Amino acid sequence: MSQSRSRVVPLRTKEAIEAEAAAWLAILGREQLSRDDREKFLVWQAASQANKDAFEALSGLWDDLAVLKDLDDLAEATPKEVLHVPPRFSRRWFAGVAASLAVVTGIGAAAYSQLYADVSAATSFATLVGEQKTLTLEDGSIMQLNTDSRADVRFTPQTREIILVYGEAHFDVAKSQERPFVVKTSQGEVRATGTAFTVRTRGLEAFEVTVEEGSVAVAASLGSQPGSDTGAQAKPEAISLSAGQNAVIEEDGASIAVIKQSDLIRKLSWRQGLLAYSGETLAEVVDDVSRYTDIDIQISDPELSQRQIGGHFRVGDLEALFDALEMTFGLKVERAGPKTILLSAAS
Amino acid sequence: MSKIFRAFVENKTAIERYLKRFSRNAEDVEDFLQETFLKGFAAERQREIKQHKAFLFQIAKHTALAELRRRDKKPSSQLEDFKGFELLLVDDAVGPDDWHDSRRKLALLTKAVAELPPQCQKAFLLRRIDGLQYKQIANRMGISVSAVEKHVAAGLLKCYAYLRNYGYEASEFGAGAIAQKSSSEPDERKDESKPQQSCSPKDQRGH
Repeated sequence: MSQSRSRVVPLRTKEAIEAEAAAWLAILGREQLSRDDREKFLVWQAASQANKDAFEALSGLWDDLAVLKDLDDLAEATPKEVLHVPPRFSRRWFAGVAASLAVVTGIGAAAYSQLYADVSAATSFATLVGEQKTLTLEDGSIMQLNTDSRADVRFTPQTREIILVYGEAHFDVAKSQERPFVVKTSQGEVRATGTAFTVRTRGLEAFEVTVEEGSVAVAASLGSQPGSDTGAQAKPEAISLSAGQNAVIEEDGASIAVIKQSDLIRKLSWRQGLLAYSGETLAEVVDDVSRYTDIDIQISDPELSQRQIGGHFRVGDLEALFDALEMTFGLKVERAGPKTILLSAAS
Repeated sequence: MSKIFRAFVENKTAIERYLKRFSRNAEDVEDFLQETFLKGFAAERQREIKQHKAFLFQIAKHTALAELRRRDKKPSSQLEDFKGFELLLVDDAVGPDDWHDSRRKLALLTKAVAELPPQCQKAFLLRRIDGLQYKQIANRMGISVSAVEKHVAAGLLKCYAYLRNYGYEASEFGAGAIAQKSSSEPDERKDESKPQQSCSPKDQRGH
């Protein structure tokens, strides 16, 4: 340290002098400065103009650094960190759902009128794009409509019939042995007594059924049979689906899969107002998200379409999804028009 | 270097691009970007940050939206508040230029500090911002008093080198000259002569 050098004046580099000056500044900041140190400092300072200048410059900087105190105010004005946790739903949530099943259908107008021979006693329910509705039916069953869906309810003393014209609906069915609960789509029907399931229409040719609890019987209407007056009355052999099973029924057959609980939860997450993904491709995600918005989302690069996406987002908070695509997945999100979003690889 | 600063440097382009969604004005974007760094750094000092990158984006959004909202509201609230004499009470003594200058100065010096090694930075800021005595800092960090002194000296020296490297003359310090010059980004400066002053004194007892 410099004190010992006060008698001799060795050749020192600028950096060495500055280091001494900084060390002195630190020493002078002590709560109690010894008389000895004080004297040594004065000697050091007087020893050369270079010492004096370096000390002055560093004290000046120390003073300038007082502005850092503003950081405390800034910290207060900073939002709390919101953690983005990977999608994981609690078991409690899952167990809380007694029984449910979902059906999705897509039906053209022609198929619809065919399906809908006896229109008299039906009540229609529909949701707009981005909208969701939960309805309690007269028998106590609960029907939840996802975005852009329409269901017509036709109850008689003998049967409970729902016609899912298009979209996706989840049903929590009240038990009743006498009155079967049937969800019809243009491509077939799902029959349950007391259970929970989701039905989703898949374009015009297919529908998808996911059983959450209990079991259902799924029957495809064998295409457009000239002999039958409504497709739904065709009675091909029914497939039995039980809890945790998912089936996609297409014109040329059904593919049935037992799905993992995590996938099951994800498929039903829309009921909590969430869109959950885990490794779906960007194309699939965009396809799914597009059900909830009238914004046209375009993927500019075909290679990008295959990028895998995970995470969960609130229905109606597309911004959060775009944020994630931009931040986590490194995509470029551009507003190409008032109703068009363009996704491309970040340059 | 602080973790949040590293995350900021690594994601600067992405954050900038993100901020462009909120404003097409380049100056706004620059202001928001600077404010994002400052807030991130300020927050990191006070609490543990778990997801640095996501947090920075969150701050960026928050900052941009708050500013845009403030501007949206301004015309109407000004009209309501404007009743002649009340004008005297408006505590807008700091004009926008002064505000920009002081913010730039803060950003520049904060970046200098943000580059310090974590222990050095901690000791330095406990001293400079919080005004703690060396002994208090030593207790808090579990290191010796002399280690604290060395951290403070080394921290100051490194900030000095940082600013010199960025083009400031020794005579400019303490003379209020810093804000006016700092219009460009300090982290774009040339990285030629970084002094390698040790910031981990040997008598440090760990923590």
